[in-house]
Amino acid sequence: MEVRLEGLTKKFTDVVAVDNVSVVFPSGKLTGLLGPSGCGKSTTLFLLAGLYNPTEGKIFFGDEEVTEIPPEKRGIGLVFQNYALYPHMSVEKNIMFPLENMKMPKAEAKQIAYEMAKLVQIEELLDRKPKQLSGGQQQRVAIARALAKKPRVLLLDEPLSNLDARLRLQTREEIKRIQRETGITTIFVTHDQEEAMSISDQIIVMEKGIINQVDLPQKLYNDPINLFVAKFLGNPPINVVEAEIVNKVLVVNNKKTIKVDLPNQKVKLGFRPEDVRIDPNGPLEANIYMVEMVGRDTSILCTINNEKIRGIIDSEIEVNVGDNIKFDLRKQRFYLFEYNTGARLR
Amino acid sequence: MRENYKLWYYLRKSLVYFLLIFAAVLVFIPFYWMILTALKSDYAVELVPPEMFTWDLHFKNFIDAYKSTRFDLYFRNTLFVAFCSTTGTVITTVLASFAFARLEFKGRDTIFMLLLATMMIPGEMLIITNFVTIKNWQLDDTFAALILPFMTSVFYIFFLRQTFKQIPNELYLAAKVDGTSDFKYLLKIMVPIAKPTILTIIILSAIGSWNAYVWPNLVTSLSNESVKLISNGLRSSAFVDDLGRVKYNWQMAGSTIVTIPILIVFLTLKKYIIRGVSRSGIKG
Amino acid sequence: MFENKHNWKGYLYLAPALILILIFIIYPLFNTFLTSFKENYQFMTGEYDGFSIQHYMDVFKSSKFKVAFKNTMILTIISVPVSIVIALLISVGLNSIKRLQGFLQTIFFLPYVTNVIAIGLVFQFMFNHNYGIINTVIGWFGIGPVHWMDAYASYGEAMAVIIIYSIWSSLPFKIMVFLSGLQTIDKQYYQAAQIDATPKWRVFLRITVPLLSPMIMYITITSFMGAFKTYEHVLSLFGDGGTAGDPGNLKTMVWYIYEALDSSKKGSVAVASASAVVLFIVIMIFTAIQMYINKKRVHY
Repeated sequence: MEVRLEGLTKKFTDVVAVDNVSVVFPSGKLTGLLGPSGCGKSTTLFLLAGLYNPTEGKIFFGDEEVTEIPPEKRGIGLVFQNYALYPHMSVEKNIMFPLENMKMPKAEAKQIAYEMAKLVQIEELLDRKPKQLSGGQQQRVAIARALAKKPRVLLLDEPLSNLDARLRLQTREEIKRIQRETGITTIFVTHDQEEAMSISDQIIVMEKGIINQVDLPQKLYNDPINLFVAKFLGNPPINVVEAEIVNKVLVVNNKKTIKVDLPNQKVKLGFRPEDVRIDPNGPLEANIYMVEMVGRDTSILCTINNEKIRGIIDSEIEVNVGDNIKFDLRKQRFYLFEYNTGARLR
Repeated sequence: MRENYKLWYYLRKSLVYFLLIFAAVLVFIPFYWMILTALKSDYAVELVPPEMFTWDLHFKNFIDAYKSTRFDLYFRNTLFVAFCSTTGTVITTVLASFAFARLEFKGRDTIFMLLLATMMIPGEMLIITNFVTIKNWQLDDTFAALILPFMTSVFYIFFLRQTFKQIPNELYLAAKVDGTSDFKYLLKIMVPIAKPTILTIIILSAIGSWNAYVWPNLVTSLSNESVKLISNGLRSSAFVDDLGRVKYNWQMAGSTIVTIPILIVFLTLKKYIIRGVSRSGIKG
Repeated sequence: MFENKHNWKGYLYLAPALILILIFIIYPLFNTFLTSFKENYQFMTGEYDGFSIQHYMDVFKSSKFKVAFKNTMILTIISVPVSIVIALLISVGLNSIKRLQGFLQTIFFLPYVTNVIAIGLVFQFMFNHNYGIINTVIGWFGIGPVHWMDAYASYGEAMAVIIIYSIWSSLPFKIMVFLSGLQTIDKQYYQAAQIDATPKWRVFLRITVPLLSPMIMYITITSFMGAFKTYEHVLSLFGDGGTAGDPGNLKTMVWYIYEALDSSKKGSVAVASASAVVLFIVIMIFTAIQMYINKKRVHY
């Protein structure tokens, strides 16, 4: 089931949470809605669920417009951030609850509850109450409950934010596996770029209610559309340095560096820490003020004309605090952004 | 199709509103009937069937009803009793709650548990002996009889202790380091922080005095006007005309006079009262 | 905790409250129990002729007590469940709306602080055979007029007035507790239920009621306790006689206690004590039964 938004807008009393969003969530894929808190991603999810009514715009599930259809008629499964498991019901009762609403016979509902529990690998916990489960187990129950009624679309609101770091890794693989096995169109909201990158088939980056970029995870990382996307993806984050183009040469800190085929203007230069490569003949220059040894890599923190940058280099190379280094960028990988708007210059 | 969903939604909402407003009207009827009757003329009040509304409002009924009784005296008595028992309650509960919340002494938790257990006991069990005590101390027909038993409350101690316990212990330790005495700490730090809870206690205790009827009725004699409280005064007031027939408009005016002050207190300080009530349970 | 070597200091702070509690709560508790066994007890002198269970026998044999017990039971068994259900529905309704919520809430809370005696007079007049609003309104639908509480009123009519007055004055407290309970229930449970297409009645029975069950249990127990102790409501409606019409002795168990206490007869304080102990035990039994029933059903 393909899900499509057309010009979707949601205004609350004084803020526009979602601003004229049009996008397609491909059928049978896992799409991540990524953005910082307050960017409108959860609002978008709740609009999809029907818990909020849009101010303007349309929502389609396949060819059917569902904009005005109440949530219970949309055929969606929603996993809440805190799971919203009914605390007074056992795991089995929780999973069966939506089925009983559909007036399904008890035996059949029980059977499905068991299958779902098996899918998320909690079949031995059916008699427990939510309180007796760990966070990760509760998460699985919530997914099982959402899937039990065979929804057309599965929505997950910050599914991993309440789990500790170790469980998060494990659970996100689990979500990916369940999505693959069921083939259900899945949309999940997250503020964690790493989480989105690791499991999504497609990522939508939102900022201030507006979609910035819709792309494959790796594409977003390698080919960001603007400074915001570039900054938001990647850890450690991208380095940004002020620069100027003079006569088709990029001038950084009053030094001519790289040739670029663009008109004269002030720009922002972005490059990823892992692309920094120390090279005595390199075009760029920086001063090291701190060196961090992190396992097999060395992280150097430098300044270029008072702007802080980070580079990740091979730990074989010996560097010291106070050194002036020259460096190059691997595969000439760097990005130029318009100075004021942050739009990518190509 | 989609219009249907909206229609159902609005129908259901309307039904909820209709039922709630209907229930609210039912709840409000006694107040309406009380005030309406209090304002009716002597003639209108005896109409059959009675008028459900009238523009012929006789505000003078309030003055007449007030003058036909010793309401001025009852008000003064009630305010005095309310003031004394509330002040006493605040002092005793603040001190005791502080002891339970912050001080360490032998038997503290045992005593606290015992006190909590007494909240289960119906007041009627206690009233009999208290009645005997007051008689034996020859305090019947005195203000002391009306005030003394209400100068403390296990529930308020429990309630205030909860609030005190929420104040971080570091504040206490910091004060200790600065050489602040316990009493000064209680007065300068704990009491100001717990002000909302103390205000709740003051209001509920004062309302309790205002509505007290059974105990005053027991320990004061009907003929003794000098210590009579407002509820008892209202009940013993006749509101009759020269022929001895009940003047319902006066009677309702009397009820209104007793009810209105407390309603005003309630409406202005609603949030404190609701806070106290829904936190735990005391029935006024 | 800060080390405090002075035990006496705690007791010093406790003293004012503790002395009053000892005199007016702890001592009476034991003394009332003891007094209930004293024969020919004279409270002014404290004299008595030994202990026996005679007063309990008298209480149980007394026809007045039997009537009072019956009245109290009827009143309790009708007014408690009815008022709980009404309060629950009103609370859920109030919790589901936005506009007018504060206003309606205030109206529903109004009876809480009112003076039982004053409003008793109002109810008396509302149910007046000739001049009352109740007979007027039901008259529009061709019902009545009903005697309610005048000299010709039946027992049922008079009891109905007491029950209506009790429910009216007990609603606010219940609504306040339920509403504050409802407000602590996470909204997401309702959103989850909505997405799963749960019918409204099922949401109420399967989610709201179970999640509210601690409050419901608390209210049930306190309401039973309160209803068993009904006294002022009847007094304010029917006056010192406590009767209406022909068969209408409407006195309650607490009334029976005060009547015994008030009489100048020798040993009457002991009889009052015995009946208070009986009331206490009845309340305890009911509370224990409810706790037992609820233990399995209440979700914490």
